[in-house]
Amino acid sequence: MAADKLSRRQWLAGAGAAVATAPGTLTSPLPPENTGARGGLDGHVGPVENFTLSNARILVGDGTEQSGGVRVEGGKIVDLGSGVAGGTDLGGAVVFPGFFDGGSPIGLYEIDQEEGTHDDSESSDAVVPTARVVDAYNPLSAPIGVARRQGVLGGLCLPNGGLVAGQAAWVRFAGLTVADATVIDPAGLVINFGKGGTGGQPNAPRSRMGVAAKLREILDANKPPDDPHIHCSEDDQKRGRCDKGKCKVKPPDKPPEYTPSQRAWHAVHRREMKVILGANRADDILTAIEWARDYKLDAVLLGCAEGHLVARDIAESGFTAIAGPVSTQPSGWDTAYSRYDNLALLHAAGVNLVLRHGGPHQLRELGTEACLAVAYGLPYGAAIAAACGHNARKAWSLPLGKLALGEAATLAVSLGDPLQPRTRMSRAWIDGREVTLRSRQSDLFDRFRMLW
Amino acid sequence: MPGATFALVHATLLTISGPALPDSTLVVKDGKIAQVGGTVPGGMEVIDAKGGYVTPGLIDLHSHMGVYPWPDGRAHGDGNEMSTPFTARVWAGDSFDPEDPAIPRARAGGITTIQVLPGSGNIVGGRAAVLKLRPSRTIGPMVFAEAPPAIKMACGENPKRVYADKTDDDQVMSRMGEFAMIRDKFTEARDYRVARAGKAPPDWDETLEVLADVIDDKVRVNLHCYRSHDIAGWYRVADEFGFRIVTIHHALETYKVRDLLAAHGTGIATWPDWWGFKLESWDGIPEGPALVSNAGVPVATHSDSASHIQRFNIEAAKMVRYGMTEADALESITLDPARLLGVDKWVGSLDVGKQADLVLWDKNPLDGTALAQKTWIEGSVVYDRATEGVPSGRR
Repeated sequence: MAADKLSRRQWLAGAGAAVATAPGTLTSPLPPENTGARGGLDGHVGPVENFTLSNARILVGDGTEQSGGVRVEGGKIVDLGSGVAGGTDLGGAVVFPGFFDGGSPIGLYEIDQEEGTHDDSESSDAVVPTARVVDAYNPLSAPIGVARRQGVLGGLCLPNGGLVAGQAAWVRFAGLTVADATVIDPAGLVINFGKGGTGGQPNAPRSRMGVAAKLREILDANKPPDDPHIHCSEDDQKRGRCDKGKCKVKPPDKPPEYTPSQRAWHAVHRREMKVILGANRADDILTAIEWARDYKLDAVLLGCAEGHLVARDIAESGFTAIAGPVSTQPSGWDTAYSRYDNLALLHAAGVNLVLRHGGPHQLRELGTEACLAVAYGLPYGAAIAAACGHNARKAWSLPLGKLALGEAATLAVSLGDPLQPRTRMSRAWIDGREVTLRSRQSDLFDRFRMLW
Repeated sequence: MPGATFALVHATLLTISGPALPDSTLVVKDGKIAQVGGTVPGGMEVIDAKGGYVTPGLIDLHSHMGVYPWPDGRAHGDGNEMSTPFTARVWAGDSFDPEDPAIPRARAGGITTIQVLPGSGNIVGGRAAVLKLRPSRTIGPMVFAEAPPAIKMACGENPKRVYADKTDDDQVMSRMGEFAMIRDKFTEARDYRVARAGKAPPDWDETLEVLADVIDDKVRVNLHCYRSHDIAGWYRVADEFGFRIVTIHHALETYKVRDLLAAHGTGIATWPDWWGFKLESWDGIPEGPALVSNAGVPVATHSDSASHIQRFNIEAAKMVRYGMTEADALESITLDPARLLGVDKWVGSLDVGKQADLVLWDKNPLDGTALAQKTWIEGSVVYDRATEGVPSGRR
């Protein structure tokens, strides 16, 4: 046993002082990624390169596995599987698509308790349909590099707070500018049901009834101009007060001018912009589904902590469910019936699941979240599909989340099962360009690895 | 618990104090560990734990369960007596609600001992309650009787935030103000300590009594502190007044001054990877615990969260990712916290004579899919996954 271990065991007797570490003498186990290539501010190590990785376990992303290698040319995967040899021998390490988070305000703030760093919540009003996260997203935000280090290569960037919080975007965790980082914008308009939709912003509803009423009023008042029922409320239509044949809507003398806000709602009505519906309590999930169905919207559910109670309804809606974090256990009233096997139960009911972690600083633990879901019954392949972007492709056309011929070479190498909390990553590429796994944290580690 | 006598057989025993023992026997008699390894004595209930792993009950020395019980709500916020910056007279046990639904969830994660601390709004927040997580309607049967008294102190952003808006002598707006306040109070306590030993004892002052006991090393100091310069400042105060800081909690910048901790015989209680929630935590790095551990400092993983405490084994597994050995990571949730609480004579490892606080896992607990199957406190089953599943988290 090493001397320092013995002294640890004897520290209560005061022996700790005897081993006070002399400056400059400390050795430490060195995570291998810290020796990795330092990237530019944009996170990239170099330009698009052609490369081959071989002798790997390949998690395709859809839940299936292969063994062999991957060959990349011009930023695309050109060969995959047992026939690929040469290049870098990974010695049995795992190649997978990287993790893609289903929703957090990453890039929108640095430090929770420092308001000066916050751009995640446009709380000037409870309804801000024209606020876009791409106007606030900082591609150089520190949590991005920290997440990338654990193989999280992108995610859905969400605005926080309010009833209608603003427009989300899918981002990749590389690039110097927002344009470089953006994958899809807008990815959807974020709308919060339940207590999340009530708040202190001007014009905020104060109760769940207010949330539902206000959202119906907004949709009724902002129908697109080609809808003959533009002046008829949904309620009138339902109750038969509106007769389509007699409904007289005079064509305007000149095309009306619409506000940006109205145009955003028109896009929602026309299914040109998705709605991302935050709901955790079971009845809030049902309210969200009903609202989206009534107006025939293209919806995705977000949160779903109590989704297992209404799993069949979610499955029948056909809406993708962004669920998680799995570790949100019932600390509050909106999540009282949350369960660890929520994802397993939703999956079993046939729901298309996308996993999210939540906060930007711990986004790197997306794999651990997936592991926890596996511990409680989610099949391993389903967990990979939920955490690595594959299932997100069913809701958005994303160039990520699947290792197959012709796909963009966005992938990571993991020194073991990527879902296991003990596992480290070794390398990663986004669109064929290697990205650094160094971060602000590895710089601090290097600075204090030896005391001076 | 008299009468709790049985043998666990064919399990891998992660003894913590020694090497792992595959396919081995552990014998519990009258609530204590009576035998580690060897053959099963006759006439004893035998539990076949083939394929499973046994660890000591897990210990979390930073919990606010019971003082901020679920569900969150204004009426439940009993962890911070922020009426004045020095409230050594209060005891977390007086706020503790044994009906907190988080507690059975923690047992289901293999937790058997917790230290319930007051919050960090005050410079001296109050006394800790060290508890065994026995199912109980009242706190009495939960108290870890052998545990020495302990106190919570704090510094930096939290007291500064709480007391910046006061308009009386309690107001403090800067770190220098905090340290001036701390010195003033310990000067009072030092004078009180001299006086109470004299012929004309002063009027009883509970707060000064406790702080005088701190100087006498009768109360273990748990210091909430993040930044390296705050830690150096506290050592100046501790050295000046002659008290010992036993554990620095959160401790995210201790890796920068780990030599100071080793020299002062201080341990840390920390997370594997939390950072960024406040400026004090901005320089937290996940290799920090491994660096501090390698300097000869006891490192306990703590939760500070009723959610993370349910998956404490995963928190330890993350420590391994960032450079800690598996043995040290397991020690960080068992024997090291026991040492820092001063209860390692009774719990924290699988050794003959220790209280039989045990967890049976379906696989190695550092595997992220491992689940505690059974938890015992002093030989009594306090959790059984086969019959309880995951306990309800609602009230």
